Amino acid sequence: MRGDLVVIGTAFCYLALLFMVAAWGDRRAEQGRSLIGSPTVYALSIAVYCTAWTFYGSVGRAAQYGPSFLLIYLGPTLAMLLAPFTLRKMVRIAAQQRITSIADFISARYGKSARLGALVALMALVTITPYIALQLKAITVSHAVLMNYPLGADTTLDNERFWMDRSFWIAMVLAVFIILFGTRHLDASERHEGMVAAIAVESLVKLIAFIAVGVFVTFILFAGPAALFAEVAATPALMNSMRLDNVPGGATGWVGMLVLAFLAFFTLPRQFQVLVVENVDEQHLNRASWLFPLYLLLINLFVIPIALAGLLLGEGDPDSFVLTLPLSAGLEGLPLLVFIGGLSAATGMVIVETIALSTMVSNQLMMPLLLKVKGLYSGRHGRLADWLLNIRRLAILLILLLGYLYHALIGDSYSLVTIGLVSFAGVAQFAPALLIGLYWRGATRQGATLGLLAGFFIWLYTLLLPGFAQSGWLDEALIIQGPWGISWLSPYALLGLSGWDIYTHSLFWSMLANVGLLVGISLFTRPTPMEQTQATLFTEAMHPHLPTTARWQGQTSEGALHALLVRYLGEGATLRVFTDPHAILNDSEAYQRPASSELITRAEQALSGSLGSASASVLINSVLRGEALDMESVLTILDTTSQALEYNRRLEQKSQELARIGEELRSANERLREVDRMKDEFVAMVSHELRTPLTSIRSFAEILRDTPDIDAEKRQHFLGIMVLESQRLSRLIDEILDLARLESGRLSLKPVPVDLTHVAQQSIEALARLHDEQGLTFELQVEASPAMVLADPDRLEQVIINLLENARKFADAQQPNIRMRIYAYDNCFRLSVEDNGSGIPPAERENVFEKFYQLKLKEAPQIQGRPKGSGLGLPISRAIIHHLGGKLWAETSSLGGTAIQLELPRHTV
Amino acid sequence: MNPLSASSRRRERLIALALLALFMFCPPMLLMIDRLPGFLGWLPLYLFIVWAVLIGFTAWLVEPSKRP
Repeated sequence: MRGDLVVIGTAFCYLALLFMVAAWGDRRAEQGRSLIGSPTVYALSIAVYCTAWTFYGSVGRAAQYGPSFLLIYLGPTLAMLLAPFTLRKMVRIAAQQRITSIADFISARYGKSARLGALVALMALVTITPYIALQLKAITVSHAVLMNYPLGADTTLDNERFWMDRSFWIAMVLAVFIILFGTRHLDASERHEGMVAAIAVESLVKLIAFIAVGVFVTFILFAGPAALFAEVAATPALMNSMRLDNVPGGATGWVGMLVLAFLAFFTLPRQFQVLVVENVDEQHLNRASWLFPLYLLLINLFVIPIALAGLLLGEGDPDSFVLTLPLSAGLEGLPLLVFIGGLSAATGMVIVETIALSTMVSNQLMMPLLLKVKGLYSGRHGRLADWLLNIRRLAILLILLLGYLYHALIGDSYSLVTIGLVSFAGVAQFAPALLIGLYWRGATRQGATLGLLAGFFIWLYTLLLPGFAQSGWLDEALIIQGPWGISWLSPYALLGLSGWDIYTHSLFWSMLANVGLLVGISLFTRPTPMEQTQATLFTEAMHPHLPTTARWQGQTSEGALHALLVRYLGEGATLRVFTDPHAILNDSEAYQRPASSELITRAEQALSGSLGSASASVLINSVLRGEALDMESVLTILDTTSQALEYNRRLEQKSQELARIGEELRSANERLREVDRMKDEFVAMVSHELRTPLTSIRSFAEILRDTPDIDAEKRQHFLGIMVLESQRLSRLIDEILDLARLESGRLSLKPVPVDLTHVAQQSIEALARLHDEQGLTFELQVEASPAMVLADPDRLEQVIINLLENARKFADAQQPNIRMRIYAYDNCFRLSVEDNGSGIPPAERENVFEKFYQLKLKEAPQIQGRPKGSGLGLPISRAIIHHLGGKLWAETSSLGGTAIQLELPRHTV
Repeated sequence: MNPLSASSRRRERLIALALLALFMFCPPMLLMIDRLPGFLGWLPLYLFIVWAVLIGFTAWLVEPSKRP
């Protein structure tokens, strides 16, 4: 059953199936019915993160280093949590600028620098080659394990001629496969919908295969997790296998690895390809931000049970436990499924990584070189689209050959995980230029270039070189004693920093140099106008009013632009840029017509999508006449836009403020009118009030003057009235003066501690005679004595007398009854004067404190027979009590009439 | 709440969740869990549970609610 033919046949069938899925996806995309327009497919395509390294290596790492394998997946989980802040921005920029790869992204950010793009592409090539080698190794080893079990797998990797080596043929098959569906056309968007669909299928296959092994090992090989863990508990050697002590570098190593996985998730070329370049809708990031971590969790769920089971049963190399455990049980089908799962994981990674790398090689390395060759774009050559595709095809072949070479020459001495982590640390060097450049406008090309170079060389020295030494290519003394015996230069303990695990150590030094140089150099260099423009376009990408056109100030004809596009992109793509290309070809006038800046921008974007932004910029410049680029003006536009927005926002704020102030003014005006009206009324009333006694005095005086012989008794009576009326007049004038002083704040009160009860009693005595005359019932309830308050005694007495007088006037005419109560309330003393009159309706209660209010009452016909008063008593009383820090208000009395409440704060010595 | 402030509130919640995740996956918390007595150590179980809860919270935060 487990014949070579069956295994290889199944593998080819599987690859053929993938190819069909990819072809179907591409056809659907051409028909405009995209297969990958679903957030779930997007999340599954991101799972290309889980390579053969996850599939076989996780178990190996868990067996050796305990729970540290989880860090490789917790880092991306954190990164996906931050997707709305980082990845969303990257996706939007990539869509605006037609970014084709991470090298293109970094190059575009730093002023479309061709050199920086080439540097990133080269670095990616160096760091990713071992990773591709790892996948080839995984396929070869898993195949060998499948074929040779229960013998060891070592026999396959021999030093025979390469055409006898299976890995070589695997690499070649994969190369053909990738060329077939990765470079079908040189599309403007550089999207590979078919590939993404195939990757999503592969992600499902590897997940199902891994969970199948997990379920088999946990529930069939052992009778459930409880039984497995019980057996582990009985094995002392495994007691500490899942503790932190087992993690290389302990807590420091833990954090280092978490950071490493976090950064690498953004910068691995294949992750950038599926996350950013292949993204069709930025809303898909929402679903992916939890579905992808869930995928990671599921694929890791059974890693520990499998690792522990493998260790218990002693099944050889931990990296192969996934295969050897079902094999040891004598199964046939499951190992084949596992092999296909591993193949899925490996091919998925190799496909995407190779396509990403080949795009970088053609756009960032080859195109700038080709453009330097004189005359290449001057019009003598035919269209270059086919050239580019061929370059890409060649690049795919070369990349896989390079991977094979690495695998054949060095890969044998490393475990899967080690190679993977070395690559991680390498690509993590892109993170500062990428992430800092995304948020800090001041990062410059020189800073990014030097930071990248420094980080890369430290990585080379502290991780890659020692790897060569361990493979026997270099003297191993280099690691232990340092070069030329200089111990502080030792690659694993640079400057004497020892005790950390090698990855954290390398990450620390390389990031220190990388970030340090990026920030430091940027602070002391001036960006070119192009850099400034691009920096603004990147950092302000989420700005809702970011202009994307009007970049080109130079002049060119539509015909020249058309010829350029046809030469590099072919007729099909040109058709999408020009709305009516036939008119241009047939009409010589249209051919000469100046191209609009929108058209130039569209043309540049189309070129960027296929050739990379740096080359597109060079090409467009080649057909522009005169002032090619005026970046300053773009910058001005950008600044003006953001200024205008800011200005707009402020204006809106101001107008709201104005509206509010207007409203306030209107109500103030309303109040003023009311006050003015009241003042007029007041003057009228005062005059009226003054005239009444004055008229009376005058008429009696006239009688006395005109009637000299009036009898003495009558004269006495008239004179008495005149005295009374003038007393009333002077009292009125006193009150008006009081009120004026109170209202203008000129009244001087002399507050001293007095006993409220004592003052009240004095006032009652002053009025006692009046009360007796009227036959009035007076009750006094003193519940607090002494009731010390701070007040002017004369004024206080004036107030109380006024209250008592009012009560007397308004009390029931037949059986007048007044009650005064003095009591403590909270931190105050209160004095209430109640009568049994008809009371004041609640709506009118505040009005009685208005000046001359009772006069107004008099005008109302339904309230009759009010005794006359000046109408100033209560307003004056309230003003005095307010001056003393108290309150005066009206309530309903329990006697049926009104209760006027006076409250003054308690005085404490 | 207007849509703008709802989305900014969602962003704030995501940042808080990311910080919480960082705290849960880093040493002080980790060392405490690792030192709990038990024959195999509780660390893997702890990590898986925190991870699952985190995924649940993220899904709850980012998925549009089913309410009309």
